[in-house]
Amino acid sequence: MIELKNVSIDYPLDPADGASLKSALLNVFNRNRKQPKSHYRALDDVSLRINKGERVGLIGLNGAGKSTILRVMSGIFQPSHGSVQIVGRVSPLLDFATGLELHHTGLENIRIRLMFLGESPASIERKIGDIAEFSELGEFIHLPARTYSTGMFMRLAFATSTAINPEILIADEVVGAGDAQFAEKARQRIEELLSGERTTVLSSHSMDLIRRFCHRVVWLHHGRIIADGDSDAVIKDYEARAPLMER
Amino acid sequence: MTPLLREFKLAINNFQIWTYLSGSDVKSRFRRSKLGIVWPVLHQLAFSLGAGFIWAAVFHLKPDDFIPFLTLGFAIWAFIAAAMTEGCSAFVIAHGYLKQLPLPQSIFIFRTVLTQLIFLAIGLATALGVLLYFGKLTLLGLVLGIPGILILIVYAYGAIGSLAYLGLRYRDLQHGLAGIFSLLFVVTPVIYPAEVLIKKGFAAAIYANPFASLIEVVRYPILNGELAEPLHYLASSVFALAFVALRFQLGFRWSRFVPFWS
Repeated sequence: MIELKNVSIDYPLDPADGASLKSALLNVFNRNRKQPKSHYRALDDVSLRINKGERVGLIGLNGAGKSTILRVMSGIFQPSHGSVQIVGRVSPLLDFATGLELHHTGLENIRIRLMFLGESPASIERKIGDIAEFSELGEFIHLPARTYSTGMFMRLAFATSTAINPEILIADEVVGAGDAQFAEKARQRIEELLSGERTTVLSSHSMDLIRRFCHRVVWLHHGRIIADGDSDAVIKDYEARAPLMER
Repeated sequence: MTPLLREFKLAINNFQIWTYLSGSDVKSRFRRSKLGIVWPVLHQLAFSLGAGFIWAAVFHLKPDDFIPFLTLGFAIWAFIAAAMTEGCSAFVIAHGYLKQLPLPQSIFIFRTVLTQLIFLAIGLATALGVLLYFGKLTLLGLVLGIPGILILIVYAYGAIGSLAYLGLRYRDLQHGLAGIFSLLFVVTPVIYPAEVLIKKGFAAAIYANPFASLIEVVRYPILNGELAEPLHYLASSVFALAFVALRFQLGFRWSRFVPFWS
């Protein structure tokens, strides 16, 4: 279960241009300070409740705040205002490469990534063979990742990321990877991942993907929820109105 | 008390992750380098023996006493300075994790502390080897050095923990500290015995300098087989605990901003 109550997220803007001790000290002496805009409000008073077992799609234009709200739901961002309650272990799939190390072998990288995704050592040993096989890397699995082609790298990351069995899955644009041969396997694997008896929040620009897996869709715009309901209805509304809206 | 207990719990629960990260740090430092771990050892020996013989002549000291003194001081000082300068980048280097995964921030503090402790162990081992060679190594000395080492560890946790937050927020801090430590290296009795300064009337550089105390509580017992002056234990402990308090204060106020600043 995930519950957001009146959550706002303000990104602090000053470090962007060098928060340095020098400028901090100089500001002490600068009496005539005209404060430039210090925060960017990425989420504005958002309230949302996702119950156990729900499969929710998250849609919106670029810059609407989707990645931000996913991070709030994953417990990565603390709200600047409001409160979040998360019950259950979250495995965020917000990128495919965190923890991947070029100097380690493919096999070691699988272990590392699973460790960061919260899998126990026992569970890692159980899954590693299957992941290695699925990635179709063959002997390369024992070589350092820096020897891999981009496709191999992505297949490895994909195979690893989709092997987890989280209580709550928060996924940002699940990456499909690989050539034509791999694509069909990948599709099946994603379907398995998204079909489990778990709470899922999936952000995507692919309405087909969302329609297939999510019964409920939340539409985010300028940091606010402007629609939350049955997926067919909200998606239809989005497809009609969104192309004309302002980012 | 409770933040401290929570911290211990986090350390235990996430043991696998931060020990892996630390091991990875140490390995990558020595990767693709033919001599690997031998380099820092050679560097320390070269400095200690080279500078040792020459300065012994300059300060009118016996090399047999002075070179062990120098090697040990150098190893401890390198650790004290590295705790601060590397501490600044503890969160910076973890920015990927901080933005993508809901891992407790303390993990990256523990990782950096462990990595620096490993390098300290290498430095101390080298120094002890030198002591053995000059016949200055005693079991009593080693045992009496343990309280000092414990204080060093507390200092490292507090300094790295505090500077992790400060160094993330103020990215130029690391450079500033490197400069300050160059100055401190000269002022602190690392490469000359405290007596030399005291005789010239600069006792304040030893007694009002917490870094000097941090070194003394480890170096003096090991070399002399007796505990250092109580003042040094007091000063270094207070110094270390002040950093720990700062770490928790900064954690309390700035934890929420760390993913944004990463």
